[in-house]
Amino acid sequence: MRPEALKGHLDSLLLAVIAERPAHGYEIANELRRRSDGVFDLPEGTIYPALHRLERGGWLSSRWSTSSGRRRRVYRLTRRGRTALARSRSDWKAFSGAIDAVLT
Amino acid sequence: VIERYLDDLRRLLRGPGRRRIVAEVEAHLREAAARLEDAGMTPREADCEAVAAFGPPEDVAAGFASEQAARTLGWASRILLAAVVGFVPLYGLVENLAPPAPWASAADAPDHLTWKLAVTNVLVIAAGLLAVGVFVAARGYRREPGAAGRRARPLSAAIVLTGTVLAVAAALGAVETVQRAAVYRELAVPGTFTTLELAAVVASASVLGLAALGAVGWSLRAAVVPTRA
Repeated sequence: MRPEALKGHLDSLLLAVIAERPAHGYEIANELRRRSDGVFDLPEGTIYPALHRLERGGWLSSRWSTSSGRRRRVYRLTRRGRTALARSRSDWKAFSGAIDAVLT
Repeated sequence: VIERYLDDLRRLLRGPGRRRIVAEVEAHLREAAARLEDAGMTPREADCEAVAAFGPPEDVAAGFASEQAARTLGWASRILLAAVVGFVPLYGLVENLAPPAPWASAADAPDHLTWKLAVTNVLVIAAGLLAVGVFVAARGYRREPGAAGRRARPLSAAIVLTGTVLAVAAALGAVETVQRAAVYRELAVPGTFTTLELAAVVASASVLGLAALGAVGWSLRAAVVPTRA
C-alpha cells in the first residue's frame, strides 16, 4: 500500500501498536504489517518521521535500550498519547459507522 | 550496502537531530538484515533487502524535513528569547559604566545620540514582545504534531523579523555607546568609559546581535527545506 493512502491514519495506527507495549521501530513496522494481514506494507522508513513527530507532540516518549547486544530506540505511549488514541478510536468508530450506513 | 545507504541519508538530512535519526535507521537496518540472514539469505542479499524495504533515502530525508524544521524553529525561538533577556544585563552594564551625563537635561543631549538611544529602546521592547510571542507560538507548534508543515513558514517569518529587529537594536545600541563615549571624551567628562569597558559593551552587544542573526539564519534554512507534513 502506498504511504499516501494512510495519510491521516498513520499516527493513530502507530499509537495503537505502541499502546500494546513499548516497541522499537523495526518491531512497530512488523506489527503494523502483521495486524493488517500485510495490507499496511509501507516502506519501513515511513514510520520514523511519524514516530518523531508524535514524540515531539508529547504523545510518545523514547529512549535507547540495549538487549541481546543490539541498541534500539524504544518508544512508549505517554498519558497524552493514550488520550489521543482513545479520541482517535472514538472518531474512527463514528466515521466508519457513518460510511457503512451510507454504503450498505 | 547499509553503510552506503546511511552515508546517503546523512548527506540528505539537514538540521538538528541528524545523528539520532541515522543511529535509529542503522539499528533498524542491522536488525532487519540479521533477521533476513537468519531466514536463509546471504549477508549481501539481506542487506539489499533490508535497505529496499526501508525505502529510498531521499523519501526518508524528505519525511524528516518538517520534523527537523520544527526542531530548528524551536531552538531559534529559545535563542531569541535568551538574546532578549541578555539585553537586561547589557543595559545594566552600560548604566553602571557610564558617568552622569554632562548636560543639564536629556533634551540638551546631542541629537545623534538621542534618536539612536530612543530607537534602540523601542526596538528592544518590540523585539522582547515579539520574542515572547514567537516562543509561545513555537511551543504550541511543537505540541501540535499535525501542524508541522503548515505553520513552519509563518513561524519562521516571525523569527526572522524578531531576530532582525534585535540585531539592529544591538548594532544601534553599540554605536550609540561608542559615540556617547567619544562625546564624553571631547567634553572631558570625568570617569567616562575606558577603552576596555567600551570593548566589553561592544563585545556583549555583538554576541547578542550575532545570536539573533544565527536564529534568523536557522529559520531561513528551516523555511526553505521541503516539508512533508
